[in-house]
Amino acid sequence: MKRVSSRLAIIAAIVLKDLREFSRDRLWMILTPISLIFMTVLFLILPATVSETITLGVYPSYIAESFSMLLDRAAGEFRGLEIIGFADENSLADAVLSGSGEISMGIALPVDFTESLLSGSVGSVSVYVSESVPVEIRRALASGVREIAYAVVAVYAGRDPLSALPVGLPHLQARILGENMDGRQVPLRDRIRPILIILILLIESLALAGLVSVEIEHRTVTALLVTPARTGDFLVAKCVTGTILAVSQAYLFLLVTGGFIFDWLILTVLILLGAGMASAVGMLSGTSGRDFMGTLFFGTIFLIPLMIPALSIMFPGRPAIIIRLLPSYGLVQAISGVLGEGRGLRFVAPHIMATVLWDIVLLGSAFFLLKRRVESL
Amino acid sequence: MKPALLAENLSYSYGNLKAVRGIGFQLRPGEILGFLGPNGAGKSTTIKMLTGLLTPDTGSIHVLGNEMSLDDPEVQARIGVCFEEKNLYLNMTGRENLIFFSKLFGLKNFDTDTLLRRVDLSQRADDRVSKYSKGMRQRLMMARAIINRPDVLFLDEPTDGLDPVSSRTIRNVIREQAERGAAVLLTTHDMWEADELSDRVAFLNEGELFAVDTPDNLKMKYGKRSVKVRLGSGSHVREETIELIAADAGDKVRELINSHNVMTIHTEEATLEDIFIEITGRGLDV
Repeated sequence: MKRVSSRLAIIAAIVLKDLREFSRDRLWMILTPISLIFMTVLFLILPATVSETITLGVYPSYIAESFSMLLDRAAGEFRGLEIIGFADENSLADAVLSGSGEISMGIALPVDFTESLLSGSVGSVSVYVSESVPVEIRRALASGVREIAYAVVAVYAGRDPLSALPVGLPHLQARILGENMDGRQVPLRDRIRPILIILILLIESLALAGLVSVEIEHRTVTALLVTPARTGDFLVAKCVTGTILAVSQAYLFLLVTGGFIFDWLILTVLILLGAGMASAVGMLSGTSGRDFMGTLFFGTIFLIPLMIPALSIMFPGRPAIIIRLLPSYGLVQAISGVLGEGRGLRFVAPHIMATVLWDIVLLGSAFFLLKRRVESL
Repeated sequence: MKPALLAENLSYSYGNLKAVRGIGFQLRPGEILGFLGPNGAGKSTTIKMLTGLLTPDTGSIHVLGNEMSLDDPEVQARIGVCFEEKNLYLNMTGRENLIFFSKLFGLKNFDTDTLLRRVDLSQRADDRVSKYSKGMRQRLMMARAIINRPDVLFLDEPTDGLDPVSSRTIRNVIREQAERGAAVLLTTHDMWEADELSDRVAFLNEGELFAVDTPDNLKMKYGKRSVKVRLGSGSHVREETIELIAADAGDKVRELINSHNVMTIHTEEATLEDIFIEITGRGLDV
């Protein structure tokens, strides 16, 4: 009998061949670096910090002192509001309208505001907001101005500003449902990083889909199967190729964007799981499409639902049940938890479990369908 | 001698369409068996079954005594296949294609240069296959099929639509492989090629095997045994046909030659195509 290659040698030969073919594909050789650079640049230009302070400009400037005093008295409720006094009303209006974000809103009181109120006259107050401030905030600000007016009058009347009203105020206790992120808000760039990683993984799934569909379309896989290579070797090799492509690029992105300052071991596990999912999607797309356009069509069909959980983390609140049931949900939550909030194993473990299960389902389906397709050629 | 390939009672259907109907034959080492049949006769389906790509509905296939199976790398290591489709890796060079397949067969330090030279591709060995002509691709396919020095070689229409130079190169390689001891199964609808290359030919039509014999035996059995003699001088030319089975055939031929009027003498041997039509009732170009 003739000498036969080991399974490992056969799989390695197919993987190397696939990587060579990938490196010769002009489309992916252009698309891959461009998308990687684009995503890195997008990440780097997004804000790295979150400003948790709203700056309120006031005129006349001596009122600012009274406001600050009031805020100090009610620190718990007013934390995060910074008061800046302005020498004239026009400067205040200009600062608000400049749109620089430094002064979010402005309140201008008449110079004789206190005297007017104390004498029983109805004073007039100007509230400045930029056009981007929602109407609800404007109304809230108007209510706030009324409260402030009472408080200011109380200060000048020598009374406690917090109990200046003729009726007693109920005690307020703010209860935050979920985790209190006060003081450690996730910056936009960290919020978007999991989306970009998922996008990188899924884009590479299209590259794998291309490799698979070409093997089927050109029937080169038939030539493989009449050698000592078996269908299983072909399937495993495709999975390994997809994983190498996806992991290498996700790793590169994380290195450039400083993602590995977090738990690199958990991140590696998550990226490997994501790469497995991407490989499954690649094989499914490659199996479904009859040609390049067909593969691209099916690839997009598979990618859209997988991107939805990634997009959902941009919005506050818990996603709908249908989103939580999507295969990439656990992966997105875990990556987001590690990269955005510095979470550990306790948080990611259930998400890893869910992703492992989805990987088994998707890879199993991909293997089954691709095997059937290959053997029917 | 133990047959290199033994096929018994093979059948295969695509749904309700019976592509191959209970065919059987054997192939000895060093023998070239030409499978002749028109398009759709079941030649490619038969090759797919013989190479393990299709599992027959009925029957069995043994390669060098081992049952044929896609899952048996030992058997796969001993066969070579040249497909009708040019299923090569287009983004790789000719050399890279061969090196890749040599790795699948576990061949260490494989000498690609000799093989590429044999199929006249050494000048273009490092060009991508996408830049190859049809003939060059087919020659590379042939080189790939013999990369492992197979004991059984399956060739599906290896010269179909090729230029004469490429066809000749491929035919020479086929002969060399048979001389080396490889059993060669060659499917073709080119009766001339089958006649020239094959030790035996098999007629396949609508999935059924009609005859398996040497081309000479088939011609003897089904062809006319006669000679056509053209006689004449100046503008007066006449033809005479002499049946060789007649008792006085020799005397008649001798008499004509002695007349010194013979311009040409042709044997009226039947072609394989004539015989195919006679046996199956249809032509090879259908």
